[in-house]
Amino acid sequence: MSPAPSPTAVEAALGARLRAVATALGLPADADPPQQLAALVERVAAGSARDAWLAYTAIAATFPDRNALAAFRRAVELAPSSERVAAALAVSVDDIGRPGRATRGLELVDDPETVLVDVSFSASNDHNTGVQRVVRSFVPHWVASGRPVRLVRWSPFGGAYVDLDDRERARILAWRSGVPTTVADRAAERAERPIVVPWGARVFHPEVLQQAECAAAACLAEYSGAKVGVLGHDTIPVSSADSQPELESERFAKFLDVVKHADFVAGVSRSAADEFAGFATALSAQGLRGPRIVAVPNAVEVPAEARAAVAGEGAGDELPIVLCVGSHEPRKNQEAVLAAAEQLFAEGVRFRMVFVGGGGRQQTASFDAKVARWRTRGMAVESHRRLSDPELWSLYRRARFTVLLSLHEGFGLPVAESVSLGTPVLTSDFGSLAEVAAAGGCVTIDPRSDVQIVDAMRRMLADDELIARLRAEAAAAPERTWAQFADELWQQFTADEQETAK
Amino acid sequence: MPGHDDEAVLRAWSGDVVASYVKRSTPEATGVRRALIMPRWAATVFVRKSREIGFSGALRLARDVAVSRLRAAR
Repeated sequence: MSPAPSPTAVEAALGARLRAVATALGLPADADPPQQLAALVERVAAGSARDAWLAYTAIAATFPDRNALAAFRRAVELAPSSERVAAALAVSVDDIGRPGRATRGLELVDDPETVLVDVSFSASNDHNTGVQRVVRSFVPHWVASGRPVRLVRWSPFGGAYVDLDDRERARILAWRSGVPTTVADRAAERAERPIVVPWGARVFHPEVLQQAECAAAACLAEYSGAKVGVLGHDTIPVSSADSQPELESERFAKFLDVVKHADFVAGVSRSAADEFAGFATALSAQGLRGPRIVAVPNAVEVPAEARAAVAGEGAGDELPIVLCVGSHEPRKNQEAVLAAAEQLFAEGVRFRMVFVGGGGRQQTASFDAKVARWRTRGMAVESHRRLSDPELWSLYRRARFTVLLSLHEGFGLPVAESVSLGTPVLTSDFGSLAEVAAAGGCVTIDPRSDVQIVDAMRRMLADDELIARLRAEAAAAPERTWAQFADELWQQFTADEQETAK
Repeated sequence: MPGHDDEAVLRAWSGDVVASYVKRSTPEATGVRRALIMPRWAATVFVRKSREIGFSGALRLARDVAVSRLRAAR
């Protein structure tokens, strides 16, 4: 724990923050802190919630949540004029009296064209699956193409945005897997930084926020005047909560409070957009309009080394490979695929069934036991929890077809990647999977029908003509790049401003 | 115009801020934090996560979750 700041340093930092917001709040620019505070509380007492949001942020060096903002406004409005400053300051002590906050500086971002991109998780963690891969793919295009973006994260001390340090920027703009952060780097990331405050600028959330940040982010969206956008990956934690850890569902429910007050949501598929549109429709019960919602489908770019991994199906393999990629959880439906494979094996159909994907022990233990049982009976079936990228790409390229019969997806990356590599897919006939499948190279069926699964797999294993046609379709399917995704997302998010300017 | 009283108010406030900081930095407060960030479910989640993303990745996630819960526990 660092030594306590001196009262003088706390006062000096407050003075600096008040100077930073002086113009925005109409405070006397060259006055000392007592004079500025006197002007500030008069401004708050005049009644604008937006002004109160910025005033609290400047005093507390922390974005308020709804409760803090209401308490602040109440204290100022109800106090006698001579006691307003004391009342305003008293409310802030709980927030600013936390480690790492008392002497923070403040930078106001008041350019309406600037977008603060909240990349907190991807910037501060080495984890790299679904959402992080999307963030690390499109955000670099925004930066490289000169868009007015500013990458921010929630401060390690909480309560407000700060700029990224070099290490954190590298995690977003120059991601390299397998380069873990050292302990020393983590310590450096906790250095105190000035808070970055949107004031008329826009804010974009490409990630689901951590639960602790949701209340302040929702309050920012509701009161700060910032135009707030969200990238909607899916609503699985609440709409398919049975397959999610409870904490994930709780966190996502809190995140929906941010979505509720956002201006814009881009679903990563039409289905994802529809899910968020359903939530937005429900907001009329609260007298709220909800965000504008559009679909901006994810891109898929497989690296050149993936295409070059192996010549194609059957290279060196004794049996045709059927590949099923995805984390092990009930909605992914691997049990149904395994049951179909067992049925086909019993019929005498010979192929190599390969499952790839991690998962919790509760989900994987019984599945792995079944796989082991069938192996002892001579069935060529295997389940891999972790594979390197080259190993996975090689499997995609060598597979006769892949199977993803999930009951609920936000996008369906394994389907898109398989098609992109020219490998046919058996997938679900609804939702985002059907959207991706429409590009070609796929057979779609009802994933809840065991009979349809068995029939489709049998046909795809036996019918060389069908596989050849699907491969041709996959090869002809248009590729959507992350640059295209980034451009379209930017255009959609900023569309209302551009139309107003016309 | 603000005068002597407002300056005194400001001094009192900065004193309160420092006192709040000190209070949150005591060994007792740290003990409370430990209790907050090490509930029983954490071990289960940690073991599962370490299987998925490796030990060091799970350690970082656990730390981030703990920090988030600490901030939420006002």
